[in-house]
Amino acid sequence: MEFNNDLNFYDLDRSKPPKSKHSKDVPFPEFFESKSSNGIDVIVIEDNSLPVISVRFVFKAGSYFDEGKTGLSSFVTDMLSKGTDEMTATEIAEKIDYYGATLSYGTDSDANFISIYTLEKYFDKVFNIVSSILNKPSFKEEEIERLRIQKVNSIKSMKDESDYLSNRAFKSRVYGDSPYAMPVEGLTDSVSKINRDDIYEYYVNNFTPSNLIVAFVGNISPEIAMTYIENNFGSQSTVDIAEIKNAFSFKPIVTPEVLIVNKKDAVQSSLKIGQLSVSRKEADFFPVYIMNNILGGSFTSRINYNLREKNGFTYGARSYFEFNKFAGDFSVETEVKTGITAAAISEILKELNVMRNEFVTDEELTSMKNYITGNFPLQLETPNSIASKVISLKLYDLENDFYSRYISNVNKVTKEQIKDAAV
Amino acid sequence: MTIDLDFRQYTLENGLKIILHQNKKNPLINLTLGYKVGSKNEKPGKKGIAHLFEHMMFQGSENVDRSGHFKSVQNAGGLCNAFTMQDLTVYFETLPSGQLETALWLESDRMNALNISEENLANQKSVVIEEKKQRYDNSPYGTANLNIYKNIFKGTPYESPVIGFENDINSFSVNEAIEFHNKFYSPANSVLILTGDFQEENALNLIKKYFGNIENKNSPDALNNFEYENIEKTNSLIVEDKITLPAMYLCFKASALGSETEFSIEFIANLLANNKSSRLYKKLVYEKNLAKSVYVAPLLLKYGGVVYIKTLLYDKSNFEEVEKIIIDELNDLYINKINDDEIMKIKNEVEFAEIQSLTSVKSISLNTLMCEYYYGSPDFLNKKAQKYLSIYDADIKKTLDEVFINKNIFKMYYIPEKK
Repeated sequence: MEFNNDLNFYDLDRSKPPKSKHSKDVPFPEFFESKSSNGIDVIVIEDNSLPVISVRFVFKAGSYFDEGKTGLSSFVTDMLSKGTDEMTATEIAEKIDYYGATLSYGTDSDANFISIYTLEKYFDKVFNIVSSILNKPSFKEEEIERLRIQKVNSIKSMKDESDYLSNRAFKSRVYGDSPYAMPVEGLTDSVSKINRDDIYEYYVNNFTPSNLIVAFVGNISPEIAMTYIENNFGSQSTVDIAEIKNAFSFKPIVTPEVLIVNKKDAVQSSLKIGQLSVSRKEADFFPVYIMNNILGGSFTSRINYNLREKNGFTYGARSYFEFNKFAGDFSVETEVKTGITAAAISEILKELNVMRNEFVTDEELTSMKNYITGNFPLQLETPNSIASKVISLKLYDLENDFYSRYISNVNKVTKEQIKDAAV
Repeated sequence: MTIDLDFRQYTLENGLKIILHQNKKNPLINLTLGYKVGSKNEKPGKKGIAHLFEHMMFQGSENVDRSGHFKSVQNAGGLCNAFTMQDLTVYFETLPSGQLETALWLESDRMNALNISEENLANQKSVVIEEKKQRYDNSPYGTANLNIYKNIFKGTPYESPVIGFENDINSFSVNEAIEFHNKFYSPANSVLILTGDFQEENALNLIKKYFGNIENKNSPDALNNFEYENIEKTNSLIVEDKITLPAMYLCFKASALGSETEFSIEFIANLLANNKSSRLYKKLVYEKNLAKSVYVAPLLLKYGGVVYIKTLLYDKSNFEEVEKIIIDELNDLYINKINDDEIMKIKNEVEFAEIQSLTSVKSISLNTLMCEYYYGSPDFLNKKAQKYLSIYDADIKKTLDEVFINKNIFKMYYIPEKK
């Protein structure tokens, strides 16, 4: 079709940015939540626009519960799909792939995740597979050895990456003797020692109904979702988990330190500069979030502007808070030209000092609030991204109205609070 | 499965192609501008210019100051980015639907006239050179694609990597940048895609308002010289890299996008690798513990293509054995009937992937652009899934014959540097 429009030419003044229209307010969508008879937290976000369903199983455990066997939590999660009492590893893979579905899993410091994503028409079959994986893993010795080879080699090759090395050095200094100091996937030595008893014990203690959050998203009603949970997971007895004790103490670094990891012939220096911070629940989230976005959390941030757009030291520089359940850290990360490493460090320290000692400008604050509030609907575009947010409420014990009050809380933040957040 | 998206297509008098697709599910819009320029349009000695130029598009235009593009999009609550490939350079922003006019103002201003200074250009050269180091030079196996293109596409504009070469990047002048803009960033050389929540007549009027009076200052040179040789028999390369695990790449010459073979190439890739039930994964990774991973990557472009099979091995003494297993498996696919379940599996995977590609306004826009550019119409997005679903054993065998069976292979080996 040809564009055929004989409207007169508009009077266009390119020098003036158009006035933006007020965006529609987007409330955080309603979601169903309930508990199964044996204590599983169930969330359902029904969305019938596409014939697909995803289900995420999140166990509140993670590598924090490795108990000195670094890498154990991750090893157990990876083992679940390597055979059950009913199916071999190959049969599981073949069935999942046959239905065109995906089965993914992973571990972080505070949780173990397993998820399925499938066409609605194969949902029942795919759900039965994941049910078998979670309820009846066989942990065969042969599969343990196979996974061990893969993991050990994987850890060895991670050392090829300079950001792995800087991250590792940083975490082990900041988090002292706590499990947060260790990489989730473990170390070659520790993974070499993990045995079947360790695996089984971790599984029994941590993959329990009372530790579990399940989120259904897509073409499924809450009633049907609850039926699936009751039928497949409802008969497991509730294990009273021992009161989670924060057995580790976290100590901030008092005097500045420099750690150097030498990587021969590297053409860039990988920098990580930061400090211990607080846990997700302790954090004064909104001032901290806005402060970090202005400092280094966005493309237009001060640190990225300084290092990239002003100085051309790097392709990019960013800062972020990594909040775990019991502690967190703040860091600035970048890869810079080797020759200007010292200059880059001093620019980063300068930006950190300015943020600590001076107020942000009104323009910076308004612009960042506009961004965060205006961007909220983008973060709710897909039902899966909504699910991630709801899961985080449960995982970190946050208030249920956190997201419905999100925009008003962002708008309330003051320059004074931002300065306080930068300490 | 049927995918039935409605596209409205228009062409302005200056040649700008417009494709609108309404989707009112969320109060969002995505505006995507695709320019038909990429590393394929670069001259010798100027490799990496198309990508460097993409950076310059964010450095200010006639009425938008240097950080203005990102700042305006951010203020509007949106996200924006861009990427450069061999064939195309693509810019996109997703915003709340009330911000459509801001997006059009920003994109039209930088199509109309840029504001390139010596200082900005020098700064972005430095940024791009650090990008090159971070993503390629300092990254394990980071030079593999460069070596594959250099060998497979020898003698064509595809032989250089999109990121380019340091000396070439440094040689780009302000005048050349302006000339590049005049030549390639014209309305007639671009496609505008708008997806999401908007009112059609209003959107069209706004597009005409902002883009209607942009002139074509120059037209791109015609491209030829995409004839390239078949792979010679003895062609192989050993590269020492700072890596722990050795890697083997078996590379096959393939056809350009738009030929009948591309859909069955995707099938072959998934039958062989890319998931845990695939033939090579089961043999190499699971049963024999010879490899950590294996995957098949088809890289099909407008004027030519390559398919490579990358295996990450535990030990370089196994290169030969692994290669033999791969070749045997290709031959087995060719000689023996592939059972229906195996083919059905790929069809289910494709169906799921096609549906997933429609979950965000950004991915709908980008898919629409690719269909328009490579297949001449956005409506191809509605037909693509059907193409996959009509692949059978015979189609796969035909493609195996054309691309893989008894063909010369470019073999590349990445081995750990001697300490």
